[in-house]
Amino acid sequence: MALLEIESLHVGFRTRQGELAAVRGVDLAVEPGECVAIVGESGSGKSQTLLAATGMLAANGTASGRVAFEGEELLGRPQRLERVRGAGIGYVFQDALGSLTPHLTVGAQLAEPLMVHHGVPAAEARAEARRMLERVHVPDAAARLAQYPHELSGGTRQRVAIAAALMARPRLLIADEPTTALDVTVQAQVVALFRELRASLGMALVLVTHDLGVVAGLADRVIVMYAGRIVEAGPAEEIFAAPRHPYTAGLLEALPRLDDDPGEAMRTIPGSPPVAGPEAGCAFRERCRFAGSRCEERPELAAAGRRHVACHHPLGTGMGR
Amino acid sequence: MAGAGLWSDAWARLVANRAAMASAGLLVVLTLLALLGPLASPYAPDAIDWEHMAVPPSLDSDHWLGTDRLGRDLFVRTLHGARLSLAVALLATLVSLVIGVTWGAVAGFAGGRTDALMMRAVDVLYALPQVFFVIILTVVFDRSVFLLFVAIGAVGWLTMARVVRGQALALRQREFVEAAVASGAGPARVVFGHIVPNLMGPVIVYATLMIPQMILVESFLSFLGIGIQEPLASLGNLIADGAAEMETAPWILLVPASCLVLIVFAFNFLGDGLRDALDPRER
Repeated sequence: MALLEIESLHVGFRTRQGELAAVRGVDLAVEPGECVAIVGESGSGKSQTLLAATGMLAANGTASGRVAFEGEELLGRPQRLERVRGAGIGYVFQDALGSLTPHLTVGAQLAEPLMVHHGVPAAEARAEARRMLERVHVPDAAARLAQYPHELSGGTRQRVAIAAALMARPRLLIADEPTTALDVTVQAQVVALFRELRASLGMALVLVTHDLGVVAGLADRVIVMYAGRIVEAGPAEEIFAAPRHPYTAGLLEALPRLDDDPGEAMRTIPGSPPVAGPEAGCAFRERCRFAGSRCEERPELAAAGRRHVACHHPLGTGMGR
Repeated sequence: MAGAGLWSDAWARLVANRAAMASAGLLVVLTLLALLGPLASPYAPDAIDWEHMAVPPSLDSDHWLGTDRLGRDLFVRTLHGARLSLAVALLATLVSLVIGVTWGAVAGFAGGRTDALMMRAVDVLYALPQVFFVIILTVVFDRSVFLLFVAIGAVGWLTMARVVRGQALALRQREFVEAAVASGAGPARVVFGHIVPNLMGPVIVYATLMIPQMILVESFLSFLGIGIQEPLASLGNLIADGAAEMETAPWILLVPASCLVLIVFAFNFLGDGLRDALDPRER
C-alpha cells in the first residue's frame, strides 16, 4: 500500500474573475521511504497539489478527488487531517524565518508538535528537541534552544525548521522549495542533510522545487507538472538522461552548465505558462517546437514501461519532429 | 540584535524614554500612596472634623490639602478616590482586554463568514450610545461598584476587538501560522499560542491608552451621579463636589482634578513610550 495516494485531484480557486483551476486531475502515489520530486514553473500547481492533500488550501480554494494517507481518506476530514499533520506528514516551507513563530524560542517551537501529538511532558520534549537539533547538525544545540528565530543565520533557521517538521517523526516529509531562499553553499548542505536524514530516519520525502540541481542529488522519481497537470513522470536518472516531454527537455536545457560560453545568452523556454482558464488541447503547445495539428487535442498521460508522458510527439521515440 | 530577545530590546528602548519612565515612576508612587497613604493620616475618609470645615490647604495644619465643606480631609479622600478610580479603570481595561482580544483574534483567524458575523455584531454595539448603555445597565441592575467595572469594560472591548482583529487578519497570512497548522496544531492552539502573543505589542499599547479613558468614563458617570456614590470617594464624585464650591473654595475642585490630570497624563505618556518601544520602525 502506498503511503500517500492522490487520485484525480482537482484544485480550484474562487476569485473575482471566476473559478480558476490550479490543479486539473493529478494522480500521484508515494511509497514508504521513497523520494519523489515534483518540478515545474511557478503556477504549475505543484505546491497547491500538496497543500490540498494536507487540507491547507487558502480559504477560497476547493479540492476534489481522493487523497489517502496510509489508507485513510483525508480530503474534507478536518479532524483526521489535524492528527496526520505533523505526526504523519511533516511540512518544511521555503521561508524558514517566516515559518518559525517569532516570539517562541527554538526549544518551545520544537517541543510543541511532540506535546500536541504524543502528550510528551515539556522537559522530555525539550531533551528530544536538543537531540533533533544535533541530528540536523545545528552547532551548539543546547544553547540554540533558548534563542529566538531572528537570532539565527539563514542556514540554521532552515535546519531548525526541518528539525521542527521531523519532531513528531512523520512517515512523510514534504519540503516545498526548501532551498530556494538559501545561498548556494547552504543549499548544498541542506540537500546533503535531507539525504542523510532519509537514510537514518527512513521517512519518505516529497520535494517541491523548480531547481533541477536539487532534484538530481536526491530524488528517486521525478514528476514534471505543467499548467495543473502531470506531463511527465519516471525514475530520476532516466528523465535526466532522456526526457520525453518537450517541456522537460526545455527545463533541462535551461540549466546553466560549467562549459557554457560565458558570452552566450542563457537558454530559456520561450513564452510563459497559460493563465488558468478553460483549456483546449495540450497546454504547452504554444511554447512547443514540435506542436502540430494533433496537439489541439489534449494528450493523455500514457505509460511506457516505468515512464509516463503526456505528449503527442514525445522525444527520443521517433515520433518527434 | 544578537543576544537580545524581542522584549528585552523593547525594554531598553522604553528605559531610554525619559517621559515614559518619569510617568511610570509617578504612577508607581501614586498607586502606593493611594494604597498606603490613607493609613498614614489620622483621618478616615468619611470622618468629619467639626472644627475645620472648608479650610484651604496648608502645611501648618493637619489637613495638608484642606477639607471639604463637611470638614472631611481632602488628602485622604483624594487618595481614596484615586484608589477606586484606578481599580475601576484597571478592572474595566482587563475585562475589555479579555473579551476584545479573544473576540478579535478568533474573528481574524477564522475569516470569511464567521469574521463578517462577529465584526457586524461589534458594529451594531458600536452604534449604540455607550453612556446610555451603561446608565441603563446601572439602573436595571442597581448600583454597585462591581457592576460599574463590568459595564464600562463590556462597552470598552469593541475598539480592542477591532484592533486585534486587524492584526490577526494580517498574521493569519504569515508563513509561521501556516507552519503551525502544518505541524498539527489545532485552531485554539494556533490562535492563542501563535497569533495572540504576536499581537501583544499593539494590545499592550492600546490597553495603556485605554486606562485613562476608563478613568474619565468612571469620573464622568460619577459626576453625573450614577457611578460611585457618597460617602465613597472617586475622583469623579470628588470633582463633582468641588465644582459646586468652585467660587468660594476652589481647592476642593483643584485637588482631585489635579490628581486626575496627573494620572491621565502619566498613562498617556507611558502608552506613547510603549508604542515607540514596541515598534522598532519608530526609531
